[in-house]
Amino acid sequence: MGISAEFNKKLKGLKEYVALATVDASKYQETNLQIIHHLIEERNIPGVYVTLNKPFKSMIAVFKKENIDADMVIFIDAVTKTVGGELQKTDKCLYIGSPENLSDVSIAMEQAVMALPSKERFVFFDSLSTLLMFNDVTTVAKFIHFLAGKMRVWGVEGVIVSLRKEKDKALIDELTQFCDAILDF
Amino acid sequence: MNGKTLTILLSVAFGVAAIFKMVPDLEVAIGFLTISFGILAIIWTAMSVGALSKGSSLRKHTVYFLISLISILLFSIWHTLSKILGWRQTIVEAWMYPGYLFLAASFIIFVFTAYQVLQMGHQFGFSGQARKIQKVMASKSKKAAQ
Repeated sequence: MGISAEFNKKLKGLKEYVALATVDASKYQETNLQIIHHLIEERNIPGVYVTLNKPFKSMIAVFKKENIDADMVIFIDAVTKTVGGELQKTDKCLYIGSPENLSDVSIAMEQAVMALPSKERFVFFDSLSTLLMFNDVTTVAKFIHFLAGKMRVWGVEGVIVSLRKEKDKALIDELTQFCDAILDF
Repeated sequence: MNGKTLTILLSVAFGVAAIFKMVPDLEVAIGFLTISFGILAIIWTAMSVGALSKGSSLRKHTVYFLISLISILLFSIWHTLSKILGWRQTIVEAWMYPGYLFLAASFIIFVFTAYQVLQMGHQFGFSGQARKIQKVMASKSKKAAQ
């Protein structure tokens, strides 16, 4: 089933939602790009891309290759190591310095979402699985609960991506209650 | 205003009234009042430092703010003690200086805190990127209309 079809089937035209996208490891990047392509190129909505998985430099190269307009996105990169783990800002991306620094990730996301010049906007969080590598399960569950609540307050189309892993199944099941839909890719 | 807020406001008002009733000297009463509020502010700020992620800019900012609060509280304690114990009349003027040092230290740390807030404004401000997105959206809309 295509990305658009899955969105239409599960979200039934909702303009504000929190969706947990569980993605197969073998087609992880491909699926993420298809979701982003659907949001930016097909729906023409701007958004915030939070990457804990791949550095901004790699993301921008992939976006270019796939003809996705990166100028429609504010990037928050928590994976690229910065000098001393300090925050660094360029005109295209905010580097958080560490995926453990969830306080700064939260502030950056809120500020970025509020700055977006459109009523329709998305937040793409990549990914829950990487978050689990740097933080304990309780912290991650609390953070996602907080994030889902914030996404509702911001009125965005929120997509939280997770790898489909057997060991994360319990957490994903628990997080289902905070989300409007589970998108299976 | 909800019931909880009203209860808190009434409790604070009764607490303030009780201090002024029990302490006849106005300066000492104000001293106790500022010390009480200062301690509460320090407790709340310390709790938030514990909750925020280690190394986050907000945590660093909160730590600076906490140190400023502690300095101001020390000034208030020193100032109130000087009144209660009559240092101003009985002891050499030099005993007043530590209080002023605490006050000066608070303002110096406040300057650092303000500078950090300025940095946070630069780091977390996305208005430049937002303007770029607006331009891209406008040009896309134009293209679609043609």
